Amino acid sequence: MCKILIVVNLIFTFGCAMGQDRMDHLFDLAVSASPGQFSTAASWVHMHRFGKKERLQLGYGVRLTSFVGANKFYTTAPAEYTSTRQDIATIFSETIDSNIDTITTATAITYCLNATFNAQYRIAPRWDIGLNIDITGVSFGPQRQFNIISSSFDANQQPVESGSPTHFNLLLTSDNDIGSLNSEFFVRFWATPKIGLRGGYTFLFSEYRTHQELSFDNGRIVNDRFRHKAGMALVAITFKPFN
Amino acid sequence: MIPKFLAIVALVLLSSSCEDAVDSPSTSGSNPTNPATGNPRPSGGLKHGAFTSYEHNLKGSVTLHLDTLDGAFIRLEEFTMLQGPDVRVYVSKSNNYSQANTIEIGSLKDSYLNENIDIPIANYSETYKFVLVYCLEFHSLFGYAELE
Repeated sequence: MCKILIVVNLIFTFGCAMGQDRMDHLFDLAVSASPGQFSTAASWVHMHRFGKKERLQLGYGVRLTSFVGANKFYTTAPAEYTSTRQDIATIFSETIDSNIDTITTATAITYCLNATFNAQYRIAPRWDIGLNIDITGVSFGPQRQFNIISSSFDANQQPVESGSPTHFNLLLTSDNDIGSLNSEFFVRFWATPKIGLRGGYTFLFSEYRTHQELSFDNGRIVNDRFRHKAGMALVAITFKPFN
Repeated sequence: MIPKFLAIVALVLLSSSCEDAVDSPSTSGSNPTNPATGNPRPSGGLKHGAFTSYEHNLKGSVTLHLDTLDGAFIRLEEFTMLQGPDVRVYVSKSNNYSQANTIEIGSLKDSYLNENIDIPIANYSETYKFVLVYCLEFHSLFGYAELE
């Protein structure tokens, strides 16, 4: 993680040394949706242009994301239960289905304020492709009541438990991630020099922490973190007011 | 005088034995096995439980009427609840919902007072000791009762 931050810092330092005119400030409003779930995001991004033709742009920013899901399932989150590996290769490891338990709530609402990493590439005049991902930040939102849906739920526990969004967010890898994190993959068309329109795909983690730890399978699994993974269609508008 | 006294004693004894026959679960002998499931057949009798409510202001209790020959049914008693969509009644091995641990026995629509809801006895065993009132559409447990 530290090595990555050092490399990113070097890139931005180099970019800054090339001159202040090689950077852009982007403001963006995004809406994402798929059946039963909805997300909005407002962000500010500081992009640095790289290369002779300045096609590659890397940057950082801040994003406020809201997520609303109706009757969505939240499943066991910690990688120690969900994946056969807990290192950086978690993303390629198999999911351990027998360790996955489910809780659900009528209306999930999470907000997260995260620092972002952003990258985009100019593929043609007025056209960019890119991606961005939340790195770390905080989450908040109203408390919710969750129903536990599991055939291995241990006795002497309440079948309905309250929970709140996990407060701290951190991007690691795949199921190692903690909290609520947003990411987008997009194509942008610059309709004018200052206004761009984006379309693409949003992949978002929304995570709740139950107020009591829940015990499953005769105490083999004791967990309070549950995650919903939302894939949604994305539309957005980007403003570049200072260029 | 003595015959009258004997008659009264006999009446008292008879009436108390009748109450025992109605209210007490059968405890004599081992239960035969259900050939369909291999589970031991439940013993006959009554079981009762009060509902714990989580949603829709559910109140009341449930009685399980069990007859090893004629089948089994539950009866909701003094039961009130704000109406909800797709509300089902299950017998369950635990106090939470899961497909694996439950048998659906009916759905609650407009009227649910003084209704008998049959339990498919072929699949039933005494491990199903909870009755759940559950909204399947929104996966919301309105309440459960533990049968004792």
